[in-house]
Amino acid sequence: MGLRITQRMSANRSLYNIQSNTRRLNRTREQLSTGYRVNRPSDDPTAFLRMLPVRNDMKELKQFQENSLQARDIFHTASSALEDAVELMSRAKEMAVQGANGTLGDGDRKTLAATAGQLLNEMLSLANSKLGDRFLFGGSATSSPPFSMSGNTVSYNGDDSSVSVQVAPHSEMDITSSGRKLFFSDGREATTLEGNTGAKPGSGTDSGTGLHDLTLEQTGISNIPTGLSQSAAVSTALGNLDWSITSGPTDTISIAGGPPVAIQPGASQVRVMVGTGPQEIILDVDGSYMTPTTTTGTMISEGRASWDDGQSWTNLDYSQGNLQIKNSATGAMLNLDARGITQTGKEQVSFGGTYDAFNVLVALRDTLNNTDGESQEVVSQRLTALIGEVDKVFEQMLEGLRDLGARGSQIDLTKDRMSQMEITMEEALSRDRDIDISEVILRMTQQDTAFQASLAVGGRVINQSLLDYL
Amino acid sequence: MSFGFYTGLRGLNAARLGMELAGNNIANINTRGFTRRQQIQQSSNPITMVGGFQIGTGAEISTIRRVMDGRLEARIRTQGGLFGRSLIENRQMTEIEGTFGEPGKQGLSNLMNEYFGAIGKLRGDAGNSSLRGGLIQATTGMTDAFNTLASRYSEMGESTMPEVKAELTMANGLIEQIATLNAQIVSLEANGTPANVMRDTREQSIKDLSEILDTQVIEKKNGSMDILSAGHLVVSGGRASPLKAVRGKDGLTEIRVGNSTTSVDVKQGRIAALLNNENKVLPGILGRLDSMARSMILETNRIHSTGMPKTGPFTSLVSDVAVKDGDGDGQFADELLAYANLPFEVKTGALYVAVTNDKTGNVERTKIDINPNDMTMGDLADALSSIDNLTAVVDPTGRLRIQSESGYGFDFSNKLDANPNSLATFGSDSATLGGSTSGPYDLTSSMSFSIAVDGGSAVTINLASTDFKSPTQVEAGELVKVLNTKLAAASVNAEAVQIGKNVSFKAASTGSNSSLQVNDLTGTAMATLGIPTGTTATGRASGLEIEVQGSYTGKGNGSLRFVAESDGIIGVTKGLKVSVFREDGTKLATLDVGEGHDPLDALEVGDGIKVFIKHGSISKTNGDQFSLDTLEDTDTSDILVGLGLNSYFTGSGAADISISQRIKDNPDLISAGLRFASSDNENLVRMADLRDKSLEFLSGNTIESFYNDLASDIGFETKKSQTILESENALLGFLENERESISGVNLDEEMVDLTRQQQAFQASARFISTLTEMSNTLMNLGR
Repeated sequence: MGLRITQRMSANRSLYNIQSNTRRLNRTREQLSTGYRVNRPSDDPTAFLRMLPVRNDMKELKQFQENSLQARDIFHTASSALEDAVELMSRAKEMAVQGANGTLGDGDRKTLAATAGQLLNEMLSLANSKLGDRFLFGGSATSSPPFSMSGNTVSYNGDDSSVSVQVAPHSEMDITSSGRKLFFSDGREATTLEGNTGAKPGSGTDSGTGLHDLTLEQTGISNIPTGLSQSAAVSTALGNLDWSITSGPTDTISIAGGPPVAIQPGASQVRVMVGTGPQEIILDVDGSYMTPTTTTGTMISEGRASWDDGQSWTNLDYSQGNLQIKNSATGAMLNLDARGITQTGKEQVSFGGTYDAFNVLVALRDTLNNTDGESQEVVSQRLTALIGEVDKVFEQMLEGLRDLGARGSQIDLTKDRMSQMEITMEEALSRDRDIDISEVILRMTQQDTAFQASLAVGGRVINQSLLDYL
Repeated sequence: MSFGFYTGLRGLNAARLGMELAGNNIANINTRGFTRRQQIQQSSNPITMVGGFQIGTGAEISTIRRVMDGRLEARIRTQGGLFGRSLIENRQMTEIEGTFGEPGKQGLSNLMNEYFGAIGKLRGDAGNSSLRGGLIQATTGMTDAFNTLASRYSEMGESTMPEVKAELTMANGLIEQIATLNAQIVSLEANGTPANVMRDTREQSIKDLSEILDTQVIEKKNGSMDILSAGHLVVSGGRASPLKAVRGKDGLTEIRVGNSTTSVDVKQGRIAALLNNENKVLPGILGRLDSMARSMILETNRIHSTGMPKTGPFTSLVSDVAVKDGDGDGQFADELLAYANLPFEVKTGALYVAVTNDKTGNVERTKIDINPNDMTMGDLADALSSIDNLTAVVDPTGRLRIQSESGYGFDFSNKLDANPNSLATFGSDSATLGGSTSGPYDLTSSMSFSIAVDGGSAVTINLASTDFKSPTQVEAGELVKVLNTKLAAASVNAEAVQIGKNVSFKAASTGSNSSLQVNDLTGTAMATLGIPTGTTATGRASGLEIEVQGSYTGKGNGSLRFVAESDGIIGVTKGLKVSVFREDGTKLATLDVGEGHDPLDALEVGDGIKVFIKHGSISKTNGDQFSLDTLEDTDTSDILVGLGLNSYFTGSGAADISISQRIKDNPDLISAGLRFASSDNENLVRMADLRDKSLEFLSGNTIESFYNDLASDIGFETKKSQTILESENALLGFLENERESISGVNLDEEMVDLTRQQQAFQASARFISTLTEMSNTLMNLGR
């Protein structure tokens, strides 16, 4: 500034100062009214640059927390459905124990069977549990019921794929459960057969689960001694049978070393016990029966097998150590050693280490109903076997519950961690974005005072000149 | 003594003039550009008295001076230019910053965040319709923000011309005024009278002009001032050359002088800021927004177009983009893809189209090679139409329409074929013989082989090198076609099938009576293919089923070949194995399918693939094999993006980015998955991953970080412009204060002057009255 000071200079200086003060005051007022230090990028570009990614991350974090909540809801609902299923299985076990009690009458068993039928339906509805419009036990197939029942077979229509949601940065959580793993077990062990037909498990690996009935039927007899023929009556013996005819006043026939039976020509039938029995072969005796020239031979009592309630049949080949029989309902395969088969009848197939929650209940219901018309003793035996199966189901479901519980608690941990992280981020964001209210208020008071002062000074400076004193 | 009166008179005159000057100075205290006047007073010439000494004759006003510093005025002019420029720059940056709306809810940053958030939400429940609606809303919010920003910035660019014109009108007025004043000053000062008032006015005009554009002053001796603007003479003495604004070739505003055709490179003043904004700042921001939007469209569409909508494979699809009829012949089909005016470049590559049978779930995948410099739209439609159960046409609007026959659907996803053994060459109920050697094959010499089907007599098939396009490099596909033509011509009830890059033979018959045998007769055709000769393959009672689950997570496009490693029954034979080979012959996995394997259990192949090898038997002796396509990128050519087939976004930049109308109309068309499963979210995962993907096109940034840089750059620029404005303003204020200090009017000073002059006037009057008294005294002496 030069030597001379003019009135205009003072006025300009005052104006400049007042304007600067107004600008500063205005900005402070804006900060105070919005609560933010950075109201536009230029307020503090460096802070703004730090703020944006933090803000984005926080949004993402909120999403993660929402996902966690959703996952937790799913796990809770799935857990409570599974708990109900476990409860249901324990009721099934009680019923099996009760049913196995020999003192129970047929009527009482039928009542129990009706309850078992209800349990089956309840189990099906639990397995098709939903949260909103989302099925919980179908793997990634969440929009249609994963389990459906046709006849006595419940099949799984879901998949084993999983769907994950992000619950933390670079951390995903599987929110699906495959019903196959929960309601069908896969810890496969050796298959066992309970029955008297002589069939044994084959060498191949079976693919069935749980308990099933294997039915062996006779379909016909070949290589019959001359003068005898296949009878309309169904024989109970199966397999390759050595026979010998002893001629005499009355010919006798013996099969597999069994007691000789007289062949009366003209008599319609001959019933021959095979070996020591109880299986037998029934043959028609032709009217023109004469002692055959060959008196020994091997006849074949042909048969077929099914383990899908007769929906599909496989012919027995007695030379096969590993005959494969398919269940047309599930596509599963049973490997059978057909070489030792001696008679028709039913075998209870138990696929070791596996179970099928629905199948167990079906078996319970049918055994209690005694649909096969078995003796009291057999029914009790079967029910006792079922108790073991129910226990396996139990174990598997508890395993599933543990898994859901573990995932649930992991979610809770993650959620806590995310909340912690959110607080840290909020702090970081706040440091850059928010004002310190007391500091800003103090600053505003100072600026207001400076503004008032500049106005006062301006007014006085401009007013005064020599004129006032001349 | 009489000269004494004159001395007194001069005193009176000088004092009166001084008083008037002070009065004038006081009156002009608030006049813009007024320079304080000062009288320069000197003693008048002395008179030589008797006696030889000299006596002064009083005082006279020699001149009236404008108190000013010429160099300071020049500096103020320069500073004015700088201030004018920074004023406009600040105004514009503030407007640009305000338009961005950061860090508010309506800022693009938040809206992009909402978009990715909506994808994240939908990921958790991909089938949910309301979440799909939410994604569409979030997308629209984001695209609208892009559109608004782009249009606001182009509007700001377009407003440059009228603003510059308004500034020029003002500048031209000043230029005219300066020229006129030049002429007046020169003519007035030629008479020796200083043209103070005119000089003041001219000074002010020059200063005003310097705030508008570059103003360089050349002062002439005669008092006129020439003005140069960025090297162009706009005022030369009394002549003015007005400036005008025109639109240049690139549509940008240009300044020209008079009738000159060269543009003035304005570097200072408000016009410089306006021009800089139009041709540098705004295009820069728009360019960066466009890059972002383009990346968003390109990358998202690349992912989306190869995904699967909730409704499953398409039955019909129309491209969003219509090609341009470049040669104007009214035909669209003859346009080369490279010159079809597509928004995104189509590269040389391949497109894989999958056609799915709705009932069986069988997938037939066809590869279409795309060479944009060789393929027309018509060629593309033909290539698509040549796929079974698919037709494609170029419609009259230039769009590609693809349609599948009823019972079939098509898509471009990389979903795995659930039933890759649909050709039944692995554990089949038909007799098959598989080749172990992959193509291409060398089939140069003439060859023949025999083939016997179902125990019939052997039929001879001849192969000549002329059968093939290049006999040294015969691909499996070409060979299969040739073989099938020949087998059909020879009425052989068998066919050749392509298994990846290998070839198998398959009898048409099924069951245990089906049989097949081949033998080389001349040459080694069968041996070249690795097909077992001399052995008789037989059919089986039932075929083996294969089911594939999962999604391919490996790298690259190719196929896997599953080969029987020994003969036996699945789940029964000890040590039965199946090997899985990649296309390059390396082994990916060995699957144990013998005793101990539950044929209904999944086998882990690797790369995200699970396979079920169900009940049946397989034979190494007969070369049982099947192949599974594994694709990472089903469209390496970007043809889907180029034409907008199953796109998520339409448009090509920030101004026109928008969500595809198809998806807006039907949210189920969001391709959330890769498979046809309602909650499959794998494609959404890829869309969400885009958020963290560094894009080459954005110089290694993610879309969001690119935007954050842009927004904070604008913040920095605005802040900088504010700081510059404040400092330029302060400097201008300082200089004007300096000027005020020299040329300004100080009332106190003027009052003192006035009082001094008044006293001098009174004293001079008293001198005259004293002289009068003296002369009266003398007069009275004579009476």
